[in-house]
Amino acid sequence: MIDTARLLAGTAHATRADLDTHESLHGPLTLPDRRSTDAWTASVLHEIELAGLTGRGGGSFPTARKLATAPRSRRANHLVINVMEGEPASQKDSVLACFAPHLILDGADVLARLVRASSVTIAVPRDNPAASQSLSDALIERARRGTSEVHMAVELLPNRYAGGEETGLVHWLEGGPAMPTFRATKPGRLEIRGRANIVDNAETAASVALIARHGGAWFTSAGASGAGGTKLVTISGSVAEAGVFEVTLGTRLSDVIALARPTSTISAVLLGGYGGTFVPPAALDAPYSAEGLKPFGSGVGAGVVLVLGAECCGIAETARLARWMANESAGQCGPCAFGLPALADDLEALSEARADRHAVSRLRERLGTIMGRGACGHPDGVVRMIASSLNVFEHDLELHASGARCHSATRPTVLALPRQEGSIAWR
Amino acid sequence: MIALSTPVLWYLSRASGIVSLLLFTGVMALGIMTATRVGGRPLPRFAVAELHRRLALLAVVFLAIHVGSTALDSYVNISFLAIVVPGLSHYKAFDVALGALAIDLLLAVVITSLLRQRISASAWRMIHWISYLSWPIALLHAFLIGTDVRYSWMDLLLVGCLAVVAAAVVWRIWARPHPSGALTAVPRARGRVQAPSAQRPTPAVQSAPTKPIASSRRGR
Amino acid sequence: MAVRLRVDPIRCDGFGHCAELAPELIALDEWGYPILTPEPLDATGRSLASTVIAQCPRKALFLETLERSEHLSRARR
Repeated sequence: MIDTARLLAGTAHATRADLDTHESLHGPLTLPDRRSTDAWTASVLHEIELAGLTGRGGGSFPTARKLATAPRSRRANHLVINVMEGEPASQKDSVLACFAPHLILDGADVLARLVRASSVTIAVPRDNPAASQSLSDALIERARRGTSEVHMAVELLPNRYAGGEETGLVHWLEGGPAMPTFRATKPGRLEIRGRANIVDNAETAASVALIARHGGAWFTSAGASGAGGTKLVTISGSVAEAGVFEVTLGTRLSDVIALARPTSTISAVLLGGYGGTFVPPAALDAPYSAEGLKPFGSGVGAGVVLVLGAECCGIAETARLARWMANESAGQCGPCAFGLPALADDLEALSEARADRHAVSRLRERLGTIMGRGACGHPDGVVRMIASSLNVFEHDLELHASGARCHSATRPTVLALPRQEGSIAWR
Repeated sequence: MIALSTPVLWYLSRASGIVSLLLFTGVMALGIMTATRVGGRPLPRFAVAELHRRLALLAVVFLAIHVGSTALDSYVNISFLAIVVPGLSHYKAFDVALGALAIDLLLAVVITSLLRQRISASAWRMIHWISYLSWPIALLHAFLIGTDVRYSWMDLLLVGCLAVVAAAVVWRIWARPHPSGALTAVPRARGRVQAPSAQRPTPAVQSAPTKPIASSRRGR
Repeated sequence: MAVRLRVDPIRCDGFGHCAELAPELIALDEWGYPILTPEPLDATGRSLASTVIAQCPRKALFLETLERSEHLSRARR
């Protein structure tokens, strides 16, 4: 039986684990010398595959497969650890960075060896000084100890939602703006000056650090078989104790939410992120895992669990999400730059019960038009979120469309909506 | 140098110069119409772009006749080199130099356009903007160089050309021909999120429990 | 070897020349941006495609070879 936290071990009192504490909590990380690297790589990759680890940044791509297919050329690769966390409703990466930075850096060390990277960038947003300070301090501690051979550096990037997308990250590291770039096939190579880049989420790295120590079987021992270990979730919304929690994959969704003490009857939950999907109350009995949520057209995504209580107006909150996300568009692709504001316009009109007769059908039609026609996944996420909202809040939608006044629509929002001032800074 | 008993080369030079200026004026207007997505019935947008390209080639032909006849003519002493190197002409040095400068700039635009498939899109675009410099210099050249033989219709012509391009430029800056309302693919300003003022602040980072939830399988 | 027509949505600036030249392959959405047919191209389609690819003011169109007729999925981060 598991009775200690793993990723969040030692963080119970919001204290930062320095290098000594980190090592006493998790044990030492043995890294191979030059001769045994290949054997070690094969064995760690095997453990990661056993663990069933999938990307924790929202993509949920099987990590072992991604690492095994990393480019192999004469030029060494470059690893990027993504701590950008542009997702407003997610704080897990920030928590890891602030309280367990050495887990992230251990993970970076392991990943760098697995993908033959000679250097690592830790990408942190400029407006999270606590996280960047903690990681920089951790690098200094390691330098003093002489722990790491791979060169690692913290880079501060402009914090935009789309800037944390991996092509945006790489674009910025190339010297350009942190705006997504177009790749004809995915997953394709991310290159800077001929050097291939591999981008991994901070929590993925931290999980890899644990798997490298304790093995894949240990990792899965915490979850229902096949569910793949533990995961960090950020629970917010109509709850009394919003925050970051570590949960076992496969746990019932209602049990997960209970950790944060919901304040009212739950009418819907937004899972994954602002580009994720709404699930109805029926999903509360489902296991919180990829398989468990698939019947509801949803998934774990970036671990966001945003609870909408009965007092919220689902249409109003959807309208706010749509507008916020539309404002975050890089504005490079027509369907996203023009389509998302159009969706937000109609949703706001519906929310305020002033929509015309064709608003709902226009909305549904536009969802189909916009999907898949941007260079990155931003518009797709918004489309999926809105589509799921129209399903889950179908009844409310009809009422709003008929012009009935909704008292909940003017209640304070439960969403975290970071300010979006003036023109976007992408550099 | 060809010495003829009639000033036919001289007339040819001036006539082809005027025609080439008229054509390039049309090219500028069509280029701006292409950029502002003007077109539909009876002239589709791709046809506007195609007309712009073909008219440009025709204008270059007339320009070649203009400079060729000028250089060949013995009436004025302008060498072939003076056509592309500003300042080498002895006859009306400054005015001819302007023409040479306009040609140099135009050469950059024309050559990159002919090699368009082989160069990067942004390089092509940046150099193409040089046409906004080349054309006024050509116009100035036409205005100054004809001052010894002043016809009132020539003045009208020049003013007309200037008016056409000026109107097109104003159109480009102030008009909104794109269906969404933007000039090029620039979306409108971002809207404000309609959220009531009593907004709940972003959840603070909290300490996490040390126990993870055991899986439901274990019957907890 | 099957090919289909694709567009780089970042380069595309909604000029719309492609839809005028090849309405069989390309339609425009309400904002003036191209919606391409996802099917592989036949012989007529291929020649139309090479025309529109050459005529695009932003060089945004290209041909993509299809290995199998699979739908390319996006792994998002």
